Amino acid sequence: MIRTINLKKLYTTEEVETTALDNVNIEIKEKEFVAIMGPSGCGKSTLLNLFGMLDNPTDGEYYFLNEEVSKYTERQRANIRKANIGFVFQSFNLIDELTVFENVELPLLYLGVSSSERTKMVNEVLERMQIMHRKDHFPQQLSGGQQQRVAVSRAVVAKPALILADEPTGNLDSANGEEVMNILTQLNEGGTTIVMVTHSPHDSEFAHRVIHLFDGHVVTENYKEKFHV
Amino acid sequence: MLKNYLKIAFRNILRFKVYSFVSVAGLTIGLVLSFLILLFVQNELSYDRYNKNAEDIYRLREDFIPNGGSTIHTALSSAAIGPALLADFPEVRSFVRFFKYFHKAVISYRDKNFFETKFFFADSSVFNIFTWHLLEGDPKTALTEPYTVVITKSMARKYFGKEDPVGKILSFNHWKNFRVTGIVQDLSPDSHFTFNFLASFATLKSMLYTHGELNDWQGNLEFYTYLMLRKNSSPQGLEEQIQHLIAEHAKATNYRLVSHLEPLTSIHLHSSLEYEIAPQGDIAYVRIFSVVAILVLLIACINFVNISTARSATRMREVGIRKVVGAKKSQLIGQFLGESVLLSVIALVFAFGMTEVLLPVFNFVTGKDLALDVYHHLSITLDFVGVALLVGIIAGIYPAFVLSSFHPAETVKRVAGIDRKAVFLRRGLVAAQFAISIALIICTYLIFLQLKYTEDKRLGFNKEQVIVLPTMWNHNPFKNELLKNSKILGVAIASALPGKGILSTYNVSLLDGGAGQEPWIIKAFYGDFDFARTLKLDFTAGRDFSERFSTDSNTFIINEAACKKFGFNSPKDMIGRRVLLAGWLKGSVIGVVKDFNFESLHQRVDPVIITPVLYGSDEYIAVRIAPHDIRSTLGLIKQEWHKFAPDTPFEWSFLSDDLNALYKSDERLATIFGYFSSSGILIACLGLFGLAAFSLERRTKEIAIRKVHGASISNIVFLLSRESFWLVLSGNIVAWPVAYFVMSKWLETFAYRVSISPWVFVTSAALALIIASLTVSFHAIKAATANPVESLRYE
Repeated sequence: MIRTINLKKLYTTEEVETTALDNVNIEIKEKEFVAIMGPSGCGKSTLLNLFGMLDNPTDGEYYFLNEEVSKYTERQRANIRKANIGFVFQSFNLIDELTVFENVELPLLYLGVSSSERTKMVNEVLERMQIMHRKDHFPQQLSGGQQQRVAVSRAVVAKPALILADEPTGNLDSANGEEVMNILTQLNEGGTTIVMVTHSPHDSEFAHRVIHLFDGHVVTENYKEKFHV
Repeated sequence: MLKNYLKIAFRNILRFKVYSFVSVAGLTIGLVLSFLILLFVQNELSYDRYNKNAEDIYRLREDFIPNGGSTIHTALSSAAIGPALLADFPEVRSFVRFFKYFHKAVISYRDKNFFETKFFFADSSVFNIFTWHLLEGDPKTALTEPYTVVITKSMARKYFGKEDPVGKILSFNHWKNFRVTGIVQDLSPDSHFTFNFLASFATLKSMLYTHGELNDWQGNLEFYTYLMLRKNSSPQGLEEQIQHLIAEHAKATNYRLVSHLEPLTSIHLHSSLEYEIAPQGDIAYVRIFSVVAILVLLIACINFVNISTARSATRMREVGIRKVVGAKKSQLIGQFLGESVLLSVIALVFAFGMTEVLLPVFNFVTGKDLALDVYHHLSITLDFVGVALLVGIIAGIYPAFVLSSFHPAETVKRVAGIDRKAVFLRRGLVAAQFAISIALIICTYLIFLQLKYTEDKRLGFNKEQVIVLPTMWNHNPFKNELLKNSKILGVAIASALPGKGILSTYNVSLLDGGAGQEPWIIKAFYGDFDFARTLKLDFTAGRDFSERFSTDSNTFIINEAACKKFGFNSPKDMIGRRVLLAGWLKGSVIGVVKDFNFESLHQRVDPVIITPVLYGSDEYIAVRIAPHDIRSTLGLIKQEWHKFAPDTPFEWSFLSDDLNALYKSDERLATIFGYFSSSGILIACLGLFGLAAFSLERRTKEIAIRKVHGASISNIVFLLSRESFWLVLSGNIVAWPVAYFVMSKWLETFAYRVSISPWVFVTSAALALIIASLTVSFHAIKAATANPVESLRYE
């Protein structure tokens, strides 16, 4: 599903040039659940952003579903993104002005799904995430755990092949965190590929494989028995 | 502390360059425009006030009311009234009568010959009443003797150069000689009329009038009478008494005269009469310009306030931190107020500078000679300093009080929070800005349409390729010589031409009895046999004057309006009818022409009669020339002119230019409206630009989230433009009825006018929408094409 060859990302400000990623070679198969770990500033989020085509690499190649996308324009990337990838963020990133229902509906809106179909799909996923009773509330009216369930609902509503999660439990207490991890596991078991950035060794236990990053380099990759390539 | 505030204020201004620029530029433009207009208005209001006795000077004028006819409001009066009032009424301190030589006069000194138009005759009391400073000569005696004249300083220079003019002789039309007895300082342009030559009234008795005419109470409304009253006398009471006096003396039966006293200071703006002494201003324009200036200033102020408050929303965190480290509420208020007042003061300084730079352009447009003089215009200057400070304070007050009243924890947490009330208010203000701008666009558009219409309308004659010359002593040989050339298509002699000269009014009646037997007032002028064909009038019945009929010198051509007034709906029925004009001129009507616009399209076409009989009242020569090679044709005419009138300067104009001159004030209105509406829309767009930037700043996160979830660039651009679309649309809803109302009022001043087409409104709305979209899309596209991660990173 994902393959990178010598991926490199530099951040340039007026005075300094920071290497966020250097020579990263990673391959992620379909239906895999991969955790990316490492200390703050090691490039985890940068890598996830590149995977999600939210940003272009400075150098190197990036194959998404066997397509070299590293030089694509934002328009081309947006098209691939909306059809294939769901995002879950640490800070939920819900739109304050939209209700729970409307937030979850967003990706379907941009995919051009019909109104009745949208209602059906959104209700279905809200039901599954057990957040149906709050669908007309605004994000500020929900607890952190509820907000993240909404964010996960939004990530999965369009049935993407890949979910990218950036510290999905980072802002949650342990009970709510556990719940989110269980949801992700279920999704993975349903066939969705998941790439998750995390600080938490506990969360990484849920993954098949853990990739450790340090100063922009991949240092180790540990496979678990759960998944056989 | 103040130093600290100023430092922070300057740093903030520099850090947010775009926003500072947008607020300052908008306010500057608004201040400059209203500054210019205020100077204009103040000047218009100051007319004639330089006269020391301005408050006590009144013009006595008479309305002419024919039986069964409509009143002619004239600026004139009979010559006999002034002296009678001085003798009979103690409240009249003094009077002066002016007689205006309406024609061009050739004034000569030795070999210098010029046409002069501002030649007046006045009583010797003139310098006692008006504050016109004599540089040479004695104001008491300068105009007591016949054939004496006082000239302005610029005329002295023009005719005499370095010689001393006093005692020298000027010739008038190579006919009469005048002795120069004084030199007067050139009149201030802020006078309701100006003269170049002021001859003694005593001259008139032997030159143009008989003793009887000058003592006439009921006819000969040909003089301008000004009275100087004693302090504290009541002009209303006097007006009534004068009316009694006139009724006693004027015994005419077929018309009445009603007298009025006009304060000198209101003549320029409030007097729009027939036979006005000089073209006057119009209070309506002063009001329109003032309103428009206030509106533009309002747009600019709204802009300034809007941008300051919008920016404050992004500064909550700063406020929180300042509070955490110990800032008092009053200190924060001081800081915010200081910043916005500083910005408004900067705008004020720029505005003063720009006004100075733009004044020459503005003077060109308005035909004025205004100057910005801080000492002279102290009150205006102070007004503007006040406006600028007020705007600065209003703009600063909202953020100052709202932000400073939050708890620190709240402000730190509520980064770029949304204050819904403030957002609503801001949107309303932007919509208001657009409402004003769109209304101005619609008005400008309609004014231009009407002006175009006046230019293109078929006037009932062909105004192109006609050269207008003043008449000369012996015009027939000149005319015949011209007609020998194939490039000269026609030559006509007339007492008046469209856009030039004055139509006299006379009694007219049908001799054969019938409906039109009762005499009524008609406008008449002299036109020779070639008049109709030279101007290409359209005949609807009958025929043109012709040399072939020996009786034609006793015939008339009338227009359709006259035909109707005589009571005939079909022009054919009018042919051959015998008419009595002015009580002594009898003749039959041989032709009826389509109504032609002799005056501006503001006026409806009145009944007009053309006669070849009033010989000697010729004023103009109209020459129709071939459309090609105009320059050489003009050269030819000039050559002939000098052959036949060697002592008279060759001065010519195009008939079409004379006609356009009738719309000068309308054109000025159009130009000023054009400037104002474009500035209005510019400021409104600056505001929209600034607000769009803020709205984006506030919505970066939302945009990023939407993009992450598949929103395309066009989705985002649409999302961001939608708001401004609604704002502009709601602006239209307010603007349309207002603009419609105002413009129908203005168009009513034209007897012939364009209809207000809905397309004008739709086009103006579309224009505003396009300009607004372009403004917003700059930001929207920038935001939409950015990498979403960049937006998320700034979270």
